[in-house]
Amino acid sequence: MRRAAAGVLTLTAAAMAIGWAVGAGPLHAQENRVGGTWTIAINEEPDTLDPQKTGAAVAAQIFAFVGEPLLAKDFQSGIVPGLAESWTIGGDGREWTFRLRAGAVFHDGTPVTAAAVRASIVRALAPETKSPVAKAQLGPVVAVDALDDRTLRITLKEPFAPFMANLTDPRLSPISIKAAEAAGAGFGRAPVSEGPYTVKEWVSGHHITLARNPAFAWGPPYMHRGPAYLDQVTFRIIPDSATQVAAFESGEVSQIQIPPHDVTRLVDSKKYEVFHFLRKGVGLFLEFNTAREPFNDLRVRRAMNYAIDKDVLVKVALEGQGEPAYGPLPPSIWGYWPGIVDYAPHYDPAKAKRLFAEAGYVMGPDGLLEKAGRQLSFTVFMPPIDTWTRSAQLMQAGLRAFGVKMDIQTYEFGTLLEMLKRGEHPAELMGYTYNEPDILFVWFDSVNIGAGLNFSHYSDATLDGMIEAARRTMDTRKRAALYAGLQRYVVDKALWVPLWTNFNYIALQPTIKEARIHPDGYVFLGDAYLVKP
Amino acid sequence: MADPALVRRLLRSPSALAGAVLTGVFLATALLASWIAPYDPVAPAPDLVLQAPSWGHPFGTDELGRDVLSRVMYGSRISLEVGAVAVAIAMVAGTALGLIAGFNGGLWDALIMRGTDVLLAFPGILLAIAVVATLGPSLVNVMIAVGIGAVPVYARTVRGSTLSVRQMEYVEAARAAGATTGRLLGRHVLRNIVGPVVVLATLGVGINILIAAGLSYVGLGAQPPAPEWGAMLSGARQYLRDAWWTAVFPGLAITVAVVGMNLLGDGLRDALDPRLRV
Amino acid sequence: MIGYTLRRAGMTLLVLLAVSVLVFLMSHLTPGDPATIMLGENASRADVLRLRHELGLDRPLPVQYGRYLLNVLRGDLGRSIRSGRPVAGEIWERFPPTLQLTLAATAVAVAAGVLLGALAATSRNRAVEALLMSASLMGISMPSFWLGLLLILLFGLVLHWLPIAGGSGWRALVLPAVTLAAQAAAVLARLTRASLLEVLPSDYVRTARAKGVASRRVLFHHALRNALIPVVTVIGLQFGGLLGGAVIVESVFARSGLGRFAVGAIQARDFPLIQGIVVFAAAVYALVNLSVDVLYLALDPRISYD
Repeated sequence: MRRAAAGVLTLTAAAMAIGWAVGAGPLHAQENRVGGTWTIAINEEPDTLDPQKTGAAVAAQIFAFVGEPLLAKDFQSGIVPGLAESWTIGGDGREWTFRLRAGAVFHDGTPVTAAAVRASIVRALAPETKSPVAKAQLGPVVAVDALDDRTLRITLKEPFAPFMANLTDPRLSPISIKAAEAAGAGFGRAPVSEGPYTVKEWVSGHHITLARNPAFAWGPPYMHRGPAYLDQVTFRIIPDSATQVAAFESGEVSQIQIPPHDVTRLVDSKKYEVFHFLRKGVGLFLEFNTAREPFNDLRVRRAMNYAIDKDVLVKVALEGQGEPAYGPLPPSIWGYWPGIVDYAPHYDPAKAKRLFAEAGYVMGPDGLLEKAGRQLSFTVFMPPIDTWTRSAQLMQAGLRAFGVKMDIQTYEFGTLLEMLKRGEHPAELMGYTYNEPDILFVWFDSVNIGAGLNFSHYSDATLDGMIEAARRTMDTRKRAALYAGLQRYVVDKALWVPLWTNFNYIALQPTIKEARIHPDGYVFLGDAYLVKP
Repeated sequence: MADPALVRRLLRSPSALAGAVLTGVFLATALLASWIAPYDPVAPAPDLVLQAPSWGHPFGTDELGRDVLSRVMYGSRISLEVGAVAVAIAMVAGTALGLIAGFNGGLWDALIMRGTDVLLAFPGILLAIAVVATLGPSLVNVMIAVGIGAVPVYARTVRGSTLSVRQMEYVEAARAAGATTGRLLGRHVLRNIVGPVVVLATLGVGINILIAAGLSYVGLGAQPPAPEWGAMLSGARQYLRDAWWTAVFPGLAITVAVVGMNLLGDGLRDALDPRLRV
Repeated sequence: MIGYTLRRAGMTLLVLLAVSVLVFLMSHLTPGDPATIMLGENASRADVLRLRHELGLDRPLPVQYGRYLLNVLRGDLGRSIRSGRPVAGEIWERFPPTLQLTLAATAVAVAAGVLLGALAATSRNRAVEALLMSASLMGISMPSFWLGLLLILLFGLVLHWLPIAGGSGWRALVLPAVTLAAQAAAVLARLTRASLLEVLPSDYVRTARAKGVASRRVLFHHALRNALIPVVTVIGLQFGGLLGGAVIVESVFARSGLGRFAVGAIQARDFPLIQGIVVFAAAVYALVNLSVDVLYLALDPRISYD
């Protein structure tokens, strides 16, 4: 009897051992996902990582890992739950009620309650915070109320169509007010939010390292339940694009945006995963200061639109990796009106000459156009970005053939913005990246002259009215029609010469799996994990 | 000053001769650029982007299809202008200060010497950077910045010469005989300082070209599309892998120009006073 | 010797004081009101006036300078306009890589310069001497950024021996250090050669030779030691050039450090930062020169200063 028992025991033990060895196989594979560091190269350091105080796009890129906003956008650009598990819209689009998930906590352990989120939003709106972007994204907020522990209501003065999409921006992720008050000015170096990563370390001029938040379990529906797999995400600050490429090829860096010149080589090498997508924004445009000579004259602005050959710019400055732009919105942003390509001016030297003549300019003795004794010459202000400088030099040569003299002056970006706000420039070269057509408000509404980004200094009640109407219309079809009208109007007034929109090429080391390109133009790493090469 | 013995000494040294030739080529290119350059240095040529050196384009073409040889030639004009203007500023200001210090002595001397000490307390490029920061990035400001940085060496040299001339007996005698300061200055002092100042100027143009090119390389000087040698090298960095010619030739031009001026300056110094030979 | 040291130290302090005045004036020489620049054009008049009062901009100039000087002596160099963080902290954070590069370059320059100079002085072979002197000429005539690009081309892209990214570790330090050292090495080589040529025929060397001391020992023990005296002073002067050269070399090799940081500060017109860096660099340079002068005196007590 005892020997039988012993035999059964042994068999059971053996069975268990075999079962464990076999069964643990897939279990092991699942656990092996966790770990590793992913290094992303960035061109410049953020001014601050306080999401409510930053104006830099790179800060939003980094904060996408650190915070989890109320709402999220899925891979079909639909709005899905984020921190808020459900929401209702009432009062003609003026009352937004959000039901927050249970169990979310900030990185410092304080629970994410409606009161805490309210405090965060109040801070973003407060004048002392001087928020350059976050406040504008919230729009016309009149009241924020915590109805109970998990219910938050935001009341707007009037319907604000961009509100839902704006709430998916990482810069509107709730932050821990307790930590913000404790840290004071230092909060911008080590912000506390409730996303899948915490800010572990920021070595100025070198790198910013994020560490996995093991408590994270409230990601959007398209992400797996639970914390991220990667141990660390490091942002390596490398301003020089040639160095970025070298660092990527030597394995020091895991992800870069490839400069145009190296795209073919990296793609042909077949060693890396390369994504590309059309930039979400007009990559380069020439903007006129309509408050100053010579571009206060609509006829001159229109003539310029016919005098610039955009195809050459794409071919030489972008090495073919992009397409010409014809309006203030690119095809990659919702609300783009495809008819703009035919509606807008194309390169037409004869027409350009005629329009310059109609504006009163005649060819002078030294080959320059002049009117009333003054030559048609101006300085274009711009930051020292390679593809932009090349485009500027190409334009300069092209315009010279028409008798227009364009000089180039480069300024550091921060200084440049201050000068443009003051209207010191006759014209500037600019580009943008944004997800929504509401960017037209940023560039063209007269309220943004001086303090905001309306560098054309153009003020027109009709234009303001159209922009406001588009912001207030919740019906998608009507809204699209309004934006189409806006694009036509901007082209009619020739406030810009839209030049090109580039393709972004992102290269990833082959060791990453489940990295996906999000339609908002970034690499989503929430489900990504590393494997051995 | 154009002492035949001096010229003979100069011609006898092969290195000085080489320096003179190279400097001559540099000057000639700078002055004749608009006639001898085969292509327009600033007009882009979209179909000729980044072509390797060939018979049509001996130095190849750059990222906008422009002929590198033509750009290098026009660049010599810019470099000469920058180097010469900076030297002129330093020479005029430095000589004036040195004369005042050497001639008057006493408080003036102390003040001026301490002033030059302060300027010398800044490492070369740093002073240029401080000036450019105050005045703003542009080629003109670079000339001013580099010129200011070179003042001390002129001031000190001229002061030294002035002091030694003052002490010479015949000058004392002339003074006693009632000769005015002006005549003393003109006849004796200036005649003596011309030599060292010319040497300084020749060597100085070379150094100034290097500093100015360096400032343009980091974006603090020439603006696009100016074919300034330093700015050209800055743009070439990203094409190093498959367009080496955009980096090699502008740098070679700088080196050749500076070598020429250094050899000539050394030769002049040796010819003027063989005792100073190093 | 103590007297000399104290007097030199006193002089250095005076010079640094004058430097501080010049640097202080820098921001006052540019157009625009500093408070308005910091707050932006749309700040209310009240805000601008308040900031001016806070920063002490409404006091007379000498008083402002006094405050500035006191702050500098306390280590407070103001706050960067761009980041809002203390300038002193920003500089201190970025100084180590630049110091590392400068020290490495100094070591390379001294080793290469002295060795090559000694070789040129003692070599009987005229071809060798000519070659070395040509190399020295190239060293002082070549722009450092060009040399850097050539080295990257050769060792990084063609031979693949050394990394070209701004990485870490000693391998990433080699090319930048060599590039930075080239000009200083050339100057030191010339000087060493000239110095040795003066010393070698001198009496005490001939005496040593006559006593039967082996030729190489003669060289190292007597000639070199004495010949190095003027070289030591020049090292001090070159150090300043190396500090300045680091600005360019850091850009070429995309290394993070104080040099590149300074360029960014200038482009952003961040005056507190620029002023802080200039004062800091001048102070370091002055300190190094002072040490070298004192060392010089210690090495050769025959020299007296008045």
